[in-house]
Amino acid sequence: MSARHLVWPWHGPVSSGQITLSDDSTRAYPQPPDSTDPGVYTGPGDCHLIEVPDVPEITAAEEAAAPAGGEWWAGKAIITGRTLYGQQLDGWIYQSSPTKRWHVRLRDVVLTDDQTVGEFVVRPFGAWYQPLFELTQGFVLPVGRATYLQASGVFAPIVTGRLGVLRLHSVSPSGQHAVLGLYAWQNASSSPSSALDRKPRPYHFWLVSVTGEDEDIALTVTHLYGLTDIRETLLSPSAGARHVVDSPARGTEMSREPVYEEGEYIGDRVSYWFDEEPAYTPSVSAVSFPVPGTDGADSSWMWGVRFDGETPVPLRVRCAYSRTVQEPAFEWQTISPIVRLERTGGGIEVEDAGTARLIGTAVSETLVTITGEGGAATWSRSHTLRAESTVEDSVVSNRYLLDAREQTVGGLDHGDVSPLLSMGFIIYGAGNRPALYAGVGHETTTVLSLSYLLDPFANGCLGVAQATETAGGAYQGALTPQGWVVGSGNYSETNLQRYGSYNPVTGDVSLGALAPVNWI
Amino acid sequence: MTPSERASGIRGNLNARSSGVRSRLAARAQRLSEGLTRDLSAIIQPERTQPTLRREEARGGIPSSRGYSQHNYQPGSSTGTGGIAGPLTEEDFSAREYYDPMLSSDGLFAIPQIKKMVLKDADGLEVVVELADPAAPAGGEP
Repeated sequence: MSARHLVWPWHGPVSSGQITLSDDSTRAYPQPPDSTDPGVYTGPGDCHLIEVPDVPEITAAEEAAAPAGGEWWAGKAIITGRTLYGQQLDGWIYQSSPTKRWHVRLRDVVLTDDQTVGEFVVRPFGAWYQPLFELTQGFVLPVGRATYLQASGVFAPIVTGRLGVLRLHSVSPSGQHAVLGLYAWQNASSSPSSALDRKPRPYHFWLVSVTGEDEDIALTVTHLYGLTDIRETLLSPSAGARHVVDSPARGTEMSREPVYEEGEYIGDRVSYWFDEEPAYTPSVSAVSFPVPGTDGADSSWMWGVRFDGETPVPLRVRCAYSRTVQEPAFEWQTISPIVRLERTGGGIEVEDAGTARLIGTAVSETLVTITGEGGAATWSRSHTLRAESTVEDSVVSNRYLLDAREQTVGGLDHGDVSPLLSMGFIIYGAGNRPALYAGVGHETTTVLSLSYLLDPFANGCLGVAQATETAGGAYQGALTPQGWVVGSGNYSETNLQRYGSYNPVTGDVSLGALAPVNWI
Repeated sequence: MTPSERASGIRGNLNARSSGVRSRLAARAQRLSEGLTRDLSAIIQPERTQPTLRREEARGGIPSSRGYSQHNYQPGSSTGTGGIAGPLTEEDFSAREYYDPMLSSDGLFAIPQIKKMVLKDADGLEVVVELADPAAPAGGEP
């Protein structure tokens, strides 16, 4: 058996300055800061997995030698926020070869309105008696603090001005690549402070590539994704044109009888049915219906970037739908016929304009697919939104369906026929948190609703809570670099100072925690 | 004091001083003699009767154990016997030779494993220390 040094057996969630070990005992550890101050290059729950290839697994004998509550790890370690085993790194570990490792540190990063400048400092790591070597390389990113457009684009519109912070977003297992993110957050005052969702969200991503060894080490920074990628729109809905039903037209003749005046035939008294087939004219009015047809939407939000090996992979939540407004099956029903005196000389006198009522049905349906993309496993949810409009005696009744739930509302007018149903990203509630929302109803009245409330916690962990028009939010799980992870947490509609994170080793998630959570 | 009395005093002082000098010379000669005897004794080992070992039953291989060394930090006391005179001093760091470093279990830390060190003792003689490879299979195997 080859001898080796067993290091750091203490693993578990890190919260309130304590690691909770597998036997539920605790051990002190420096808590990563929860700060958007300059010089704090990681979020409170960000951590980065280092994987060293070809390290033999922990043997049974080694495992048995672990202290109580401890566990040795072979060939991997977690940088917990800015620290590794309690030592402040402010960066990551670059493995240039199987035998050489380097500490890449971020230093003196400053954001202005126009640019972000800073330095990388590279030093040998993990080897003793190596010649002293240090490389300092500056970088300049042509993007600075977030504009209002950028901030609001990532669901952070409540800002007092331009703001931003640069963070180490993700690191490849070898450290040969890293992603830097520029983050915006809502910073306006609120009472209480926790009533506003202040979690930072990235509005730009940059890729750092590290190559070479010793004096040949070089760092290259390239732009990865901007706001148009982060809030990508592949398809926009086109429906919205409406048409009105023309006034009912005179239809077939019902009866005809001669009319005499002073014994002289002057013409016929003719009764007509109304034409059953409605005619439509493109227009917009209170009695207009959506033009039948099919359209759709496809948009996404990239809340993070993970690595598949050395390849950066966007983590997106996508919402796409296909919407169909069917041709309405309407007809005019004659209540009382049109009566006309049609004189032999060609003159026409309308003796009774008659009355007609519209009857029939109209259906609009939207099929929604929500997908978590970029994770090691794909996740999706499908929903059906449907409205069935029934017109009887020109009075509209709508039967609304959202998946298995349904509700019928009557006494509506023509303008409520075939409502356009959709689902998409919104800034939700008073706390301004990101969400996907579907409201099924008419005009401004929502009868049925479904919301996916999206909490951009740390470390590629997007907490997902679900709510309906009657049921408050509850966490279902999280989208993570590995895909969907079922989980629960302390959800609040009004207190948005919640924390969460994803453990890249165990796959565990923490959602809605009251204090910052990280992992080691 | 008469001249004869003064001459007698001077003579007495001279005799006393002469006696002290002789005494110190004798003591030095004695010390040299003892040192020489000690040194010769160290060089010329008297023949000793070798003790007879009792017969031991075979016990199998020698169990592995970690090597160690003891350092003598006393000032140089070379006796010309061919032994190592402390302190041992490494004059050229780069002369060290290493085995492959021992990796930590997480793979991040490479702890150097010294294979060979070249030292000099207090007499300037080269001393080579060759250490075992801790990553090699343990000894005692058939």
